[in-house]
This record gives sequence, structure tokens and C-alpha cells, in this order.
Amino acid sequence: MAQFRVAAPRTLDEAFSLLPIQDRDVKLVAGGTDVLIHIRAGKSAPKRLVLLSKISELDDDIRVTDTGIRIGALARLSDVVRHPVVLARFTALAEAAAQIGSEQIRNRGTVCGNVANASPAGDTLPPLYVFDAVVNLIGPNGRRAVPIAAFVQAPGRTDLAAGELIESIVCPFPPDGAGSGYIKLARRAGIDISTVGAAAMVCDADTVRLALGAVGPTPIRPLAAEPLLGAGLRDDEAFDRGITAAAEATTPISDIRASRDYRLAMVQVMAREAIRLSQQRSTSKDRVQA
Amino acid sequence: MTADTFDITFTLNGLRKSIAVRTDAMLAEVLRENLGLLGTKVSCNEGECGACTVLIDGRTANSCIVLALEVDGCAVTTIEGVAVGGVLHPIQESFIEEGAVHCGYCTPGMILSTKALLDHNPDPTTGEVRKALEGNLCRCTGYNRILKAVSRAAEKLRPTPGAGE
Amino acid sequence: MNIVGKNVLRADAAQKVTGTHEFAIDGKVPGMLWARIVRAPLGHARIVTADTAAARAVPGVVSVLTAADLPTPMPLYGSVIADQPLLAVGKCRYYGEPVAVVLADSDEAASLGVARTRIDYEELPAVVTVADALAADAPLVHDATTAPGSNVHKQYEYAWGDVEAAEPACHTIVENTYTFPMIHHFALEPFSVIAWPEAGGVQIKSPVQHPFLLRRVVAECLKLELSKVRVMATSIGGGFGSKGYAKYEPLAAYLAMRTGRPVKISTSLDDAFVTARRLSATVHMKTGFDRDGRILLQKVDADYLMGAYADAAPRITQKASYVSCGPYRIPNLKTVARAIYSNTTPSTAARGFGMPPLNFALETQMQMAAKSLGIDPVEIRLRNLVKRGEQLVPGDIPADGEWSEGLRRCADMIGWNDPLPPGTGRGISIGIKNPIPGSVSNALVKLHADNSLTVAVGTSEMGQGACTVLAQIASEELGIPMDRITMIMGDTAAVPFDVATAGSRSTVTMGNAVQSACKDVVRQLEEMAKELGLIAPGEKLQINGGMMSDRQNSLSFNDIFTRYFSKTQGEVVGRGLYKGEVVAGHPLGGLSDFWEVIFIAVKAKVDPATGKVSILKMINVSDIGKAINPLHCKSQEEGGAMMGLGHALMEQMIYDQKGRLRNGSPLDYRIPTTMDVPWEMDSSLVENQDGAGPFGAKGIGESGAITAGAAIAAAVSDATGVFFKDLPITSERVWAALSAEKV
Repeated sequence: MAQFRVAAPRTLDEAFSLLPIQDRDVKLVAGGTDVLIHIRAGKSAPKRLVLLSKISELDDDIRVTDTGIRIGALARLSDVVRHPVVLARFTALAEAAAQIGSEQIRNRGTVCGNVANASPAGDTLPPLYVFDAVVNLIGPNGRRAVPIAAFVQAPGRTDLAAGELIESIVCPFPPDGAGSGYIKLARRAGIDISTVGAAAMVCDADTVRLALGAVGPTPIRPLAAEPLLGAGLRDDEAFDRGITAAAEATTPISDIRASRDYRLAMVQVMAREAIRLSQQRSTSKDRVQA
Repeated sequence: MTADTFDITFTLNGLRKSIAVRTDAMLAEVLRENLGLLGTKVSCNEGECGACTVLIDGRTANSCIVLALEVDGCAVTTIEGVAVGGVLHPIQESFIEEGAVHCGYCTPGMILSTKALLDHNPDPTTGEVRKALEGNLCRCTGYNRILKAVSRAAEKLRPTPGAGE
Repeated sequence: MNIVGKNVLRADAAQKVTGTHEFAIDGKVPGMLWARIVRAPLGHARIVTADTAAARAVPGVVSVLTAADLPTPMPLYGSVIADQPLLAVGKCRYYGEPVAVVLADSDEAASLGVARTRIDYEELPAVVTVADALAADAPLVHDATTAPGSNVHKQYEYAWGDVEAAEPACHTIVENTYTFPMIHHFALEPFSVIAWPEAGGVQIKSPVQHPFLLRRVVAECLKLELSKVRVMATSIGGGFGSKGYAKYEPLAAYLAMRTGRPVKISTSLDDAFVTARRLSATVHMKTGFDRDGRILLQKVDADYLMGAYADAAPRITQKASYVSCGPYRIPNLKTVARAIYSNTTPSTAARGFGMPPLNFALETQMQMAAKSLGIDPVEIRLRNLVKRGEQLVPGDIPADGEWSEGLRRCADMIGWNDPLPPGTGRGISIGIKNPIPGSVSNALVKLHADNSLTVAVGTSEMGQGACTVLAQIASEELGIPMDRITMIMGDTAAVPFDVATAGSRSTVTMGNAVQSACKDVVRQLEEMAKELGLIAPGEKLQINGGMMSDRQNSLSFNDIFTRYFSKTQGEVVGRGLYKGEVVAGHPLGGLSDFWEVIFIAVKAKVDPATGKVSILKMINVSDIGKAINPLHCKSQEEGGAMMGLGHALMEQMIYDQKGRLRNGSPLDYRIPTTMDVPWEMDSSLVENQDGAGPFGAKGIGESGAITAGAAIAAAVSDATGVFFKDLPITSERVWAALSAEKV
């Protein structure tokens, strides 16, 4: 009589055997905070869930390597929020993770799950875009690494091929002295889905990276605008042109949270604010060193 | 592995429990229907309101969106496990004393979120208290007295300086 | 006083903090069937076919019923008019309307049965706004109404003085149209009811605010005698009006009687959005002032949008518009209010009972007049506030408080004249409401042989603290400690009649009934003492703290009791009745018992770039007469004010053109969280012992929700220079208004 069946494979091989085809009726579950909410809210009705939590080869580590951090498939949002290296070097990611759902949700939800979910409003995505994150996939035919911007394709759609799952996400360290930040606009101060989100990273007084959330089918990294914004750190007029160019790269829609017009205006406000905050942090002397 | 039921063993309020659960059963349902622990309240059933908050290995979770089989091997604390031996926990006392309990439907979840907060952070700032409770909705109190109750509980729980072991 | 006026801890709190307090949703009865409801997916549609075969095939499903399986004509229910069917017949009139019900041996089977029920619809044009409903060619929600051929159910008019004649004397006329959105109560406890057949009748366990009213509505719907319907009101996990009137109880009662088995209907929080909402409204208001800011006239046209069925909405429209003058002296007034049907969730009572839209409009008018005339917003209100003893609504009780005292205190507490940093603003407003006029409350108080007490009342405990406050009143009156008092509440077979737990009335009306029942106990004890020769006839007696004394003797109540009966038997049963003043021909049926008045001041900050409003400080001051329990009075008012904050800044139910609710879920409908609480919040009580209740108490609880929105709107206006006439004041609306200003 079950609504859906659940498989809890213990190994990757076992998991692969359960994921023969890309099937809407099968959902992978890490923390379950998205999949199960959607089931409970009647927004999806998968026939089978495959749990990742018992797979021995997957982990919930946030590991600092020589080149950056590696976030394991099962690493929870609340661990990312509190991780000292993430806080110091990937501040925007910690800030974004802190603004997903409630403490209860962050204690279950994972960064990798947020990425796999590929919601245009997913808060960890813009920071991962600015940190040039790479998504490590594993499947029956081996491993492959996909840059985040190529991995996320459309609302709810990713590059995940049949039988594949996310093993980890890797972010290379940003240049020394870089600062970053995530700013989000929502309908209330407490938990809410983003109306507009913006992540930025600034370093060396001339480099800006920017990613914008909830203003297009996927987060948008306005690459063409970034050089202008970089130059704009010392030139207000260039900065304004950079912000305009960034906004032009977005394609927001109207929905129950906000109108397209408001989002178009707000994306500029959020972008400015995120860059300003990142710039402040990039020049801050008392920044915690990793 | 895709059978309809799954045997789990976990620690519930300090006691070991083994039970067969439907694989699609949520923890809230198992607590309420199978184990008779009705103190875990169910409201939105979609992880938004926090009424069903329990602690899993000391961290808060919305038990309405946690598969029961996921707590296999974990320690779960429900509201029934907060008062020990019929003596109210200082958090529970504080909620009563500050007038933070009205209809009572959100109260068990609020108390568990408070417990998780104070267990990890005995001296939270007002901002930290607000952030820790943002996932527990209350429509009666306006939260003001709940925030006061958390501060009072933190004070009660802080070791008195000089009080020896 | 020993107990009254003290912050006595809540009698039910220990159970609530340990999770042992029972709610209806937790209940099970042996042999019970679980019912789940199949709901309409459109706002207005013809029901073409129903295919229930697949649902009936689900193991555990006992039956699947549609209107075709129910009696013809379909039993209807409703407190004002019986217009709501147990299941939709022929067509559905709102998104989420019950169209079929699945009965099963388990909740899961019932839910699966719902998922497997196929019903085909033919879409009809839906009416979702006031404009839709009033359009010349508007589709009709009901074929036959009191105004045939129209969606207007009823119109109510109030007038005094001569509005037209007063107009030339006005120096400033403020005229605007305001809109107030559809809002959901958002009680945390979902609707849930268990009914079971009993001796030719039915018993119902439900978290209902008005058990006796429910008894009547179920009896009328199922054509039973009142005595054949027993309603046991369980403790309510949040009501705010949503659980006042019949919701799923008539259907549950019908199903129990039909199947001969107990039936439980459970719903989710999502279902609550399609079960009950607050009335939305469009209010057109024209207010004329003299040069000094005194109101000379007011003309109000209030169009209240009801849902698809009347529920309590006509009464709400009628009663709220009765106090369209607010707390102000208005010599010339004309108000026309209409209750209009639409294809939306039925609108019912909600904290403030129709006052919030009118209050938001009137207080914003005051704000605009103050600005236009160059008068301070506190001062203009002081000039218009009626004074104690002065008439407010002609023919009703006069002002029963020093309202200027509360307004001044509120202004002081917010720091009215302190300098404001740029981008911040301050606002103040006054909320007013009358309770249920001419209403009846009975109470029974039983003194037992061991000097303990049982107090039996029809009041429901809904978190407002009635079980504590009513016990405090009895404790004070009889000198019996709180822990020796047991409250029996809301069971129509066990307690005497009470009209409703609503309208901030219980402390006053039921409080009076309890107090008078206690006095009846004392009177009987006195007679017993005299009969026993323990006190001399004609002696003047002192009654204090459970003792009765004449010049020689001092006797405890228990001494008298045990000597009269014995230590093992007997009971002194006191009866108390409170009956408000019924007036023949009065539009509301009678007079107010008191005026519920609150003052709210707010300090807000507005981010001009995003339009985001942050509430820095909020002050509530209530004119309460006497606080039986000050702590709970304050926290109750703060709860109301936070609800008002939600209404002001974020809450609204959004329908599409097909009448589908687009945000009927806690995921999409936002209410305030801990993060949205003002950074400073404080409350104060004005206590002049001038209320109609015991010890001079007045009722409270609704008023915060009535006027917090107006105070916030005023603060936002003060910060931005722009007036907002539509709630909620979302960031986007503020941004749009500021952008328009710049052009």
C-alpha cells in the first residue's frame, strides 16, 4: 500500500543497479528536504526513492585540500554554515547555506542535494558559480567532473546522466585576499524562497565575479559584465555600466513572489550590495585565515 | 531492499527501540501512530512549520519529512524525553513562566528547537535565538514571550559561578 | 485581591510543554472510520461525471460518496443562512470545495482513495474579486440569493446626522479607496473532527470555539433535536475565528449516523486554506475635517467579499460596519456595507471580525488629514476621541474609558517626539471593536465536600487562557486556591449554555457568569449556616477568603458544608447567568457590553532601494479595565499585533482567473517568523476598573490584529512620504510607490 518504495543501497554498485534509467519515477534522496517536501505537498509522486545516506563510498565530509574544499555528497548545509574554512574563504557559500530553509532543514539538507535539485532560486548555486565549483559525478561507467554552470541546465534539469549521482563538489580556493558575500531578497525576514539572490567575489581591486539567482531558468553568471564590474571597483561610471550589463543578462519572470519588473530592478540592487560587501571583505585585515 | 517494511533500531528518549516501519513512513507518523508519542505535533506535513520538530543525534529535524528508516542507528529525542522523571526541564519551566505557551500546538517543537540551540550554544545572542527558531511557526504568541522564555532558560541553565561540582 | 491581577501561571501549560495535552487530531475511537475529502480543482465548475471505482478498489476503503449518494435535497448548513452543502451538488463553487468523501479503515487508505477518485468538470467563469462579482454580466455564485440576479447577498446601512449638509463646512476632505486582501487564519492545528452515533443522535468531538452554536447548526442540518446532538469542544490549537462556525462537523456527523460507526475527518494545514479565510474588502471612505482637524462627516462604502458560502460573513459585514466611526466623534455619518458572494474559500470570523479593513482605512484617513492640516497625528486623534461617557454609536453604550490616557501612554512609550534617523518613520493608531451584543453566558460552580471546586462553562480553551482566567475569578470570589479548581469546558452535555468563545467576550460575559455562580454558592452557604443556627438571622456577614463571619463566629465554607451535608456527600451548586442587553429593533440585536480599545505605535525603517520594511519597535497599550492576569493579557495582545504585522506586510491569498488558489500552503503563504518580530516590543495595560466584567475587566485579544496594520502603514508613510492604500505593504509595493514618486 506504500505511496512509494524506498531502497537504501549500501554500496555504489548496488545503487547503480537500482538506477538503470533516468526515470522521473525514481528520485535520489540525500537529506530529503526537497524530495520529501515535494511529495508531501503533492507536487511530485515518484514511485521509488533511492537513499544515498547508507552508501559506504559516499561521505558527509567537508575536506580542505591543497587547492580548495571538497564537499561530500552527504555534507549537510548546517555543517557548511559553521565550517571555519568555508566561513573564511568561501563566505558567500556559508551565507547562502545559512539562508536555506530553517535550522531543521539545514540539519538534513545537503549542498549536493541543493545543486542536484537545480532550482533557479537554490541559494547555494550562485556562490558555487562564483567559486567556479566543479561537480564530481560517479556512475556505472566511471567518474566525470562537470563545471557547475554546465551541470545546471534548466529548472530541475541537470547534466546528471542515467545512473549517475553526485559524489562531491569541489571549489578551488579563490585568490588570496578575495572576499565574497551572498545577499538575498525575500518576502519576509525568516525562511523564504529567494525573490532575487546575488553572490559576488572580489579580489585585487580589479576582479569581480558575480552570479545571480532566481532571475532566470538557472543562476546567471554575467561573464560579459564582470570585466566592467572589475574596472568599476575604481570607476563609478564603469560600475554602473557593469551593473546594467549584468541585469541585461537576466531573464526574470513574474510569479507569486514578485513581478518581472521588480526582479529586474532588484537584481541590480542585490548585485551592487553583494559586490560592495565582497569588496569590504576583500580589504578587511582581520579576516580569519584558513 | 525494496520490501514494504524495514526493521530499524534506534534510541528513543534514551531507550533502545526496534521496530518494523513501512519504508514510506515518515518519522512523525511512526512516533505518533506506531509508538503512541502524540506530543510530536503534525501540522503542515511539508517541513515548513516546525510543529513536528524532534532531535536526531542532537540536531533538530522536521519529523514529517524524515523517512523513519533514516533514523536507524540514531538517537531521537521527542518532547516526551525532555522532562526527566516527571520534573520539568528548565526550558519547559521558562516557557510557562514567561507566558510563552498559548494554544500549545507549536510548543513541543519550540521547546526542542530551544533545547538544540542551548545544548550547543549556552549563551546565544538575541539574533541567534531568532535564527534558531525561525523554522518554528507560532500564530498565537507573536513570539515575543517565546524569545524571552529562551533567554530565561539560558540563564537558568548556565552554571552558577562558584557553585562547586 | 489575592489572585485576580496576578500573573498566575497557565493551568494547562504543564501539559502543553510536555506534549501530553490532548487535541482532537490525536483522538481515536474504537471501530473508527477515517474520512478524507476529494476537493474541487477549480473555482467554479459543473461536475460532469464521478468515477469512484478505482478508489473503492483500494484495500481498506469502505465507501466513496459523492452528492449523488447523499439525500436529496442535499442537507445544508450555516449559522446565518444554511447555504453550504455537505458535498457539492451539480457544481462546485470554490477551489477546494468538498466534492466527494472517502471512508476507509485507515488514514492511508482514505488518502489513496482520494488520489484515485476521478471527477470530470466543465469549467465555468469564476468570480474572484469584488469587481468580478459586481460586473454587469457577472456569473452568479448562487442562482437564488436575497438579491436575485446579483452576487450581493445583503446590504447594511447606518446613518446619523446629515452627511451632505455637513460637507460645505469642511475645510479638508480626504477621500480614498482602500483594499484589504484575503487572509488566512493559519492556526497550527489542522481541522479535525470525530463524530459517532449515540442513542439516535450524534456526538461530536471537535476543536470548536462555539460548541452550542455547532450543536444548533448540526441539529438543523440533520433535522435532529438539540438534545440529540452532543458537542465536546476539545482544546483548540489555534482558532482566531476559523474554528468558530461549523466546518467539517456536519459532514462527519452525517457520515457517523449513516454508517453507524465513528468517523474521523482529518485535514492538513493546506486544507485549512480552502476551509476558512478572513473577509477581504474594498473600502471607499470620505472623511471631512474642519480647520482644526475635527471630523465633521464620514461616508463609507464597504464592499466585503465573502466566499462561496455565507458562513458568518453577512453578520461580520453587518457588525463591523456598525462601528465604522472608529473611536471618534463623528456628527454626520453614512455607511453602506455589502456582503458579496464570490468563488473563493468561504470567509468566516477572524480576529477582529471585519474591523481590520475599516480600521486600516479610517486610521489612514486620519494620518492623511493630520499631514494635510499640519496637525500632529497624536493630537488630531486626541481632538476626535470621544470622552468617557460620551456617545459613540448613537443608541449604544457610551465610551467606557479614558481613551486619551491610553493614546498618550502609547505615544510616550514609542518616544513620539524623539528625533528619527533618516529612512525611519513612526506611526500610531487606535483599534476599536464591540463584543457580541446581547449575548448569553451561563456557568455552574460546584463546591465539593473537600473544599475543591468544579467550574463548568461553555467557553472553549483556545490558547487565550480562559481556563486560567475563569478559574482565577472563581478562586478570588470563593477564596479557594487555584490548584483546587477544576474547569469543565465546552461539552454541551455537561456544561450550561454559552453563545460563543469569540469577540473578546469570555472574560467579561462568562467571567460575570462564573462570578455570579460563585455568589450563588455563597448565598446558599449562608442559608445553610442560618438553617444550622451557626449564624444569627439578620446579622451582617463578612465574606472573605473562604470564610463567613458575623460578630461572634467565623466559619469556613467547609465547616458549613460538612455540618450541613457530611464529609462524604453533598454538593453546593451555584448557577450564574450573564445576559447582555437585548434591544428590540436594534440592528445588532442589543448593546455592547464594553468597547475593546487598543493603541499601537510602531517605529519602522524602510530601505528605499528594495522597499523592504523593518519594524524596529512596536508598542501595544490596551484599555483593559482590570487585567485578571496581566502577563497573559500582554502576551495575548502581542500575538494579535504580530498577526496584524503579518497582514500589513506579507499575507495575502492569491487566486488566478480560474479561481484556483495559488498559494494555499505554508510553503507559499507567508506569516511572520521569529525573524520578523520587531526588534523591540513592549506592552502596557490601562487599568481603571471601568469595564463591565468582573472586578472592572474588559475583554481583549482581537484588537492587536485590528490596528497593527494601520500603525505600520502610518510608520511606513512617515518614513517614505507615501501613503499606502492597499495591504499588504510588500517590499515590491513600497518600491513601486517610491519609483513612481521619483518620476
